[in-house]
Amino acid sequence: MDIKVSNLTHIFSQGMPFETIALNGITCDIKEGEFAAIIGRTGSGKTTLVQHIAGLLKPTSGSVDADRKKIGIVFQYPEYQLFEETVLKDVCFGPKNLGFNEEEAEALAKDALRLVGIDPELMGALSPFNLSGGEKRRVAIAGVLAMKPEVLILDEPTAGLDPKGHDGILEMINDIKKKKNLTIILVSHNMDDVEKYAEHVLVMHDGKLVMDDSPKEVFKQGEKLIGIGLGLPWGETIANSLRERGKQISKEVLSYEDLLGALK
Amino acid sequence: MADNILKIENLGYDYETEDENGEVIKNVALKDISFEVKKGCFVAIVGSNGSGKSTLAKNLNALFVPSRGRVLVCDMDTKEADPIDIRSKVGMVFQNPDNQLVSSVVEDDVAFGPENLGVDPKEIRDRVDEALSKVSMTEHRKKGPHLLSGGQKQRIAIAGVLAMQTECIVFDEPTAMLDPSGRKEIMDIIEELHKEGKTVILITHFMEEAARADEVIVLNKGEILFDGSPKKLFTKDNQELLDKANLKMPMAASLAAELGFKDVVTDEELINAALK
Amino acid sequence: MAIRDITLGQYFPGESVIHRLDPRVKIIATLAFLVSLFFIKSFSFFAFAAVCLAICIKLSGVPFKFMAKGLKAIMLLILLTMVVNMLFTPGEVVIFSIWKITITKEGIYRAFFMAIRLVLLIFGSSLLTLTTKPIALTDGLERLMSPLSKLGLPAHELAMMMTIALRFIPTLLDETDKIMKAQTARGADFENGNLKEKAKALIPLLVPLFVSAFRIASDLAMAMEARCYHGGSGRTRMNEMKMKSSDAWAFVLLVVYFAAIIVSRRFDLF
Repeated sequence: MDIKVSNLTHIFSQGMPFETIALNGITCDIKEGEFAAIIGRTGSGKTTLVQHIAGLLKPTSGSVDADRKKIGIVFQYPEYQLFEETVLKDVCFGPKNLGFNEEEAEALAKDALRLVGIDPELMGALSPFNLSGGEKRRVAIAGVLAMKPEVLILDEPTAGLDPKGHDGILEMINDIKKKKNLTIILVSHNMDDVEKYAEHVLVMHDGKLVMDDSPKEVFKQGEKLIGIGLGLPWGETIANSLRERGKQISKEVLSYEDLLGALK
Repeated sequence: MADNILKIENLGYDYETEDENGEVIKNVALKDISFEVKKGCFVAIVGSNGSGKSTLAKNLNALFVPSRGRVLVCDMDTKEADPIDIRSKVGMVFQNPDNQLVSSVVEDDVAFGPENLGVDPKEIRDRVDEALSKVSMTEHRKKGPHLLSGGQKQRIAIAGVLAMQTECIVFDEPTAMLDPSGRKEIMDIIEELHKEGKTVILITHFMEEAARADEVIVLNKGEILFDGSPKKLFTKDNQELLDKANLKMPMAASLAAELGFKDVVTDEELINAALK
Repeated sequence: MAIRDITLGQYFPGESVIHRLDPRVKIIATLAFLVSLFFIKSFSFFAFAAVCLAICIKLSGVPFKFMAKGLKAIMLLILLTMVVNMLFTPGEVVIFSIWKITITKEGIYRAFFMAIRLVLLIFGSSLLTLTTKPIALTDGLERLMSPLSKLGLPAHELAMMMTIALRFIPTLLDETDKIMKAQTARGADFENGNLKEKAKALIPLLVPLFVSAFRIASDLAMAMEARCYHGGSGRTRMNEMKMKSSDAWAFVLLVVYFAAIIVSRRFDLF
C-alpha cells in the first residue's frame, strides 16, 4: 500500500490567541516497502505529520490517502503506554481490539514478541513494569506489531537508550522490515541512522516539507540542513571540517566507512 | 580548604525491596567504589543502562547515603552532616528536563535554590540574572517551561544550580533525552563551566561526551572497571573492557585506531591528526 | 495538544491597569465583590454592581466574548437554579397554576434574582483569573494566608502544592493526550459503548497515567531536595510584593463600593 499525502494543513487552536500552524500544505508520497525517514528539529511538525498518516488527527485541510487499519504507530517512549498485568496480555491488547479471539490474539502476540527478541515462554507471564528499559521498549513495539501492520511508523524509537541499546533497536527494526516486507516510517534526529538505513528522506522545517529525496541527495545539501538547525552524518561533518582546512576529500563522503576509505 | 571536593571510600549501596512474603531482598547496586575528585576537575562516569551510574550520582550529594563505606563532600561525611550543607556544595542536574523544574515561570524556578538557602532577595535577583545570562536564557525568563525545548529546559535547570553557587555540579545524564542540537548546547555549557573552574562530574552513556573529560570512570554492574584519562581508555587494547561494559568507542577514537593515529579521542583531535 | 484547547480558569495576557494590580488587592477585591452580591436585595443595586464590574472588565481589555465562554459551561446550572426557585418559592400573587405546579410572582422575581447573582459571581471571579497569572495568584494567596500560619494553617505548603500543580498541569495534559493517542492507535475505543464498557476502556489510559504521575512526582521530589528544599522555614523570596499607588486607589474605590452596598441595605434605599 502506498501512502499519499496531499496538501495537508493542520492548525492548532484555530482562532485562539495562541494559534499555531503545525503543518503547512504538505504533499508527499511514501511507497510500499520503503524505509522512509522524517527528520527535522523539535517542533518542526514531524510528529504531527506521522500522527496524521496514522489517522489520529483530523486535517484542517488537505488529506491523507491510506488504509489506516494497516498502519501501526510506535510513539516516543512507548514503554509509558504499557498497562496490563503481564507482558503477553499487554501485547494481546491490540489484536483483541481488532476482534481476534483469545487464542488468535495470543498467537499473534507470541509471534510479535519473538520478532522483537523477547521469548514469550520465558517472559510472557512477567509484569511489564519489572522489565529493564530496553525490554519494556521492545514489548511496546511488539504491542503494535501484533496488529500485523503493513506500515510501521516509529517516532524516535531509540530516545533515551544507551548506544548499544540504540543500535540493537534499529537493527531489529531493519530485520523485521526485511522479514515482513513492511514499509517503515522513522522519525529521527540521528543523521547517522538516517544515512545508514533510510532509502527516502523527508525534511521538515517550521511545518513545511523542505526536502524530499534520497539520503544521498539530501545530505549533499549540507549547508541547507545546517541552516535549518539540523546536523549531518558524522563522517560528513568531519570531512567538511577537513575540506575547510584545505584537505582534498570527495563530496561523496557521508558515513564512517566512507571517511575511513577516504583517509586510508 | 582541602583540595579534594569529593572523596569516595569503599562505597557500597543496596536497594531494598520486599517480596510477596514481606521479606527484604537486597539488590546490590554499587560495590566497593573508591575515587577522589579534585577541585576544578572534569570527571566523566560512564556505563550502560543499569550499570549503577545514576545510583552513584545520587550518593554524591546525600540524596542517597551509603549502605557501606563513606562519601566525603568537602570533608563532610554525607551520613552525618546536614544534607543542606552537602547540597549547597554539590548541585545536581537530572536527566528528565520536564520533571526537575518547579515553577511555571523560568526565573522563579532559577530562584528556587537560593530561596531555599535563605539568600537575601536582592542578591537572589543578581544571581538569577547572572545565571540566566550564563546559559543564554535571559530573553525567556518570563516564559513557562512547557513552552521551551528540551535543551532550553536543561539550560534552566543548569541556571538553577549555578544560582546556588555550588563548588561542584553533578550532571546525571543531562543529554540522554535531548536531540543533537540540544545535546551540543548542553555539552558546550558544561565545557565552558569547567574552563571557568567549576568542578564537573558528568554521568553519561555517550562516549563522545566522556572523551571531552579529564578523567573517565567506567562502571559495570556496580563496580569500577577503569579509572583514567580518556586517551588511556579509548585504545584498541581496551576494546574487550568496553565490550564487557556494553559501551562503544567514540567514533573519532575508533576511526583513529583503524588509521593508526595515536592519542586521538575527540573529533577535533581526529581532524588535527588527519591534516598532518 | 487537542486537550489543551479547553480554556478553563485561563489567564488572558495583557498589560492593563487591572492586570498590573497587586494580586493581593485583586483577591481581596474579588472576595469583597462576591460577598457584596449576597448583601444586595434589589435589582437596582444589582445594576450598580454590574456597572462597576463592567467598568473593571472594560479596563482589563479582556473581550466580553472571551468572558462569556466561561458562562456557557455553567448555563445548565443557572437554568436549573431558575427553575427550582420558580417552583419552590412560596408566594401570594399566583400567575398560573397547573396540577400541583404553581408559579408565583415572587417565584419569578426570585428566579431572576438568583440567576443575576450567579452570573455576576462567575464574571467577577473569572475577571480575577483572567487578569492574574496563576503563579501570581498563588503567591498572593500565600502572602495573604501567611499570618494564619501562626494558627497552624500550612500556608506555605498549600501554596507550594498549588505552584507545583500549576507547573505540571500542562505536562500531565500532554501525557494524557499522548497515551490516549497511543492506545487509540492500538484499537482502544474511548468514545463508544455503555457506561460499564466506557469505564473499562479507561484502564489502558489511567494505569499508564498514574505510573507517569508517580514517576514525575518522585523525580520532582528528588530535584527539589537536591536544590535544598526543606519546607517554608528560613526561606526567602526573590520577588517582594510592594503596593503601588494604583493599588491604594483600587482599595479606596473598593471601600466606597462596599460602603454604598451596605448603606443601601441599611436604609432600604431603592
